[in-house]
Formats: sequence, C-alpha cells, structure tokens
Amino acid sequence: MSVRGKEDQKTAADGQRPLYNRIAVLRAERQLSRQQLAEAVGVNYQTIGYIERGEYNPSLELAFRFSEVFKLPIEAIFSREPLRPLSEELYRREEG
Amino acid sequence: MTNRLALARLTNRIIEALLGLTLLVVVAVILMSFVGLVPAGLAYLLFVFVTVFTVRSVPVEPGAWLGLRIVRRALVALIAVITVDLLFINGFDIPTLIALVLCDFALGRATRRVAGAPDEILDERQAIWRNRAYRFAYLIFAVAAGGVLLASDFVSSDTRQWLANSLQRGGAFISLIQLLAFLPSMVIAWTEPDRISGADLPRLRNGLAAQLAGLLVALCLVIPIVLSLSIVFAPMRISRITHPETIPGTTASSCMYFGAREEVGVGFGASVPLNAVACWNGTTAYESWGLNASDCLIYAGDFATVSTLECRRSTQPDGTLRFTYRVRVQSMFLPFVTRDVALNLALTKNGKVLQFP
Repeated sequence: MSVRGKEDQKTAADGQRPLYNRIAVLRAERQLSRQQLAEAVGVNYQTIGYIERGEYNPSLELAFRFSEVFKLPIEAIFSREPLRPLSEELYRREEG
Repeated sequence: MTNRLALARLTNRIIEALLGLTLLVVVAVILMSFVGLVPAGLAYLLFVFVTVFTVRSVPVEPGAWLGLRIVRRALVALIAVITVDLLFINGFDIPTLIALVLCDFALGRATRRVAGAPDEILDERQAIWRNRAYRFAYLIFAVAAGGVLLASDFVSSDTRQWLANSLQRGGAFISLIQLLAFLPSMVIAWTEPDRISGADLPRLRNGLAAQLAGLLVALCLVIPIVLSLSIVFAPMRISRITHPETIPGTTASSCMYFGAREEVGVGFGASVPLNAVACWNGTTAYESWGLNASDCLIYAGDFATVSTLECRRSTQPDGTLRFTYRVRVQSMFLPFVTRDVALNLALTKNGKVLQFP
C-alpha cells in the first residue's frame, strides 16, 4: 500500500522524484507516535509528518536509521514505485 | 543525541539562572522608576527586553493556527506591507513599530526560529530548508533593496529626495534592518507546508521560564495600555512655587518668580513646566522673562507626544497681565487617548495674583 494518498501524483516538495514509503503504516503497527519515532531516529517530529506525506525525501543516512528502528530493509520502507499493502505483499509471498 | 540533550538541559539551567538574576534587576529598576530615579520608558524597554529573552528561552511549539501555511503567508504579507509602509511614514511611529515587533514575534514562533538556529539543533530537513531560505532571501533582498535604491536614484530628483527623507526619518533604515534580520524567516514561513497537528503534538515544556513567559508577554501588552490610560484617568499632579524676584534696575518688591509644573499620567505621560518672572508698577503688569512663544515649547513626554494648542500673553486695559499656555498630551500607544493641560497666569498691576496653577 502506498501511504502517499493524495500525494501519489505529486512530486516531493523539494522537486525530486517521488519517494513512496510505509512509515505511517509501520508506525501505527508498532504503536509509535510521531514524536516517539522522531526521537528514535533523531529528527523533529514534523519531519516525520513531512516524510509520511511525501513532502520531504529523507537522506540515505536517515533512511538507514528508519531501517534500524523498524528492523526492516530499506527497500521494505521506501520505494521509487507505489507500494502495495503489506497484507498483499505477505499474501503473495505465502502463495509463492 | 544523549550529549545533545545533556547540553540542552545545561543550557536551560544557565538560561533560567540568568533569567532569575535579570528579573531581580528589572524589578529593582521598575521600583526605582516609581520613585523617579529611572525613567519609566527605560524601565518598560528593559521589561520588554527581558520578556523577549524569556520567550526565546522557551521551546514551546506554536499554536495549531500558526502551523497553517495560509496563516503564515498572511503574516508574511502583513509584515511586507508594514515594511514598505515604513518607507513612507515616520519610522518612529510607535504603534506601527509595535505592530511590526508583534508580527516578527509571531513569525519567530511560526517558524520556531529555524532561520537563526545552529546546525546542532536542526535535523536534516530543517537545515536544508533553512539554507534554501537564505538563498531565496538573499535574492529577494538584492532585488528589493537594490531595486529601490536604483529606482529612486534614476527616476527623478523627487524620488531621490523621498529616499533621503525616508533615511533621515529612520523608516528606510528600519525597513532595511527588518529585511536583513527577518527575510529568511519570512521565506520559511511562506514556503513551509501545513504542519501536522493533533494528538501527535509533543507536550509543552513546563519549566520556570515557560510559566513566566506567558505572564510577561501579557504584562508587556497590558502595561502600555494601562499607563497610557493613566494620562486621562490619573489625577494631574501640580507643583508650584512663587517668590519675590529681584531684577536689576527694578525695585525688589515689584517682581515675582512663578514656577509651576503640571504632570499627567503615571510613567507614560508628560510634564509641562512654567518658569517666568513677571513685574508690576502700579499702572500695568508685564513680563520680565519666561512668557514668550519659545517658552511654550519646553515640555517633556514619556511615550506621549505633546503639542502646543495655545500660547498667548496679553495685557488687559486695566493693566492685568494674562498668560495662557495650553498643550495636548497624546499617548503614543493609544493615539485616541489625549488630555489637555493648561497653565494660566493672571497678575494685576498691583501685584495681586488672580490666577496661577
């Protein structure tokens, strides 16, 4: 599932190619507030909001910090293509 | 992160200690202003300085309404209008300057002072936006300041004179300082998207400085209003003194010194003096010194403007000397608050004082 919602058709605010992410879903799954996640990765809590909305593309360094916090590979969190829902990904994997 | 937090806590402790010390000094200065040892205006400015210092030391998140981009853009537009307006009016018009200071204060809160923050306390997104804001601000400043300078210099002699007058009055200078100091913040406020709000907002810090900040801001706004209203509602304080005066070439008993001072307002107000010597000779009373038009310009105002309404000296057919000195005291903060003050002197040809404050 893409978490970009209405932002799907838009490019990021800084003019780069859109970067899709699952941060909102992963954060909800782990019951983390934006403030808690922000403290875990060392950014302002508003930055989490901007990343979730696709209005800011994080650096590679910050992407690795998300990866460490969620204990997932970077490509499971960020993608250049719209992300499918996690349940669909899981179902496809089980089928395969 | 841990080191950064420890450093932030240590900084906060130092700030709070300095704040406590500064507040003690301010209270002392304010008390001294009540007994006349320090001008009330100076005490108020010091109080404003401490308030700004306190508010800046409190990392409180801005209200939800300041997180909306449309609100921030409206704020930036208002600041731009005031900045341009300063070029055309007297730069030391107090209400305009206060409006500008309040808008700049709100701008600082709206952008959480990212424009002036060091790299250590910004994350990568904030640092990128701050740097980008400085680049845009530099371009805007170059176009705005350079454009005004070039246009006023080349268009006509009138525009050159307009710029010279604006610089002389201080308006252009304040506009320049405003752009230099706040343009990056204005760019950030204009470009930053709507912020997240709701349950995810962190709780406000609730330290000593945070508790004091709101109180001090409220006092900063209320004090000028209350003190300005005292111009109208506080009783007028009048002091007077008279004594025989010896003027070379006249008899000792035919002249008298008249000294009076009327004060309006508490802290913010004006003091209007009258110092003169008048004489009499049995035929007429006349002025020796101190009852001329130039003597009607000697007054002092604290955050109030004083303008002379009437300054008239006349001698009646019966030889009575009459002097009328009337001024209007107007609050700089609340221009509709005014009070007229009159100092009258009437002296007969025989030296009888008919009227004196």
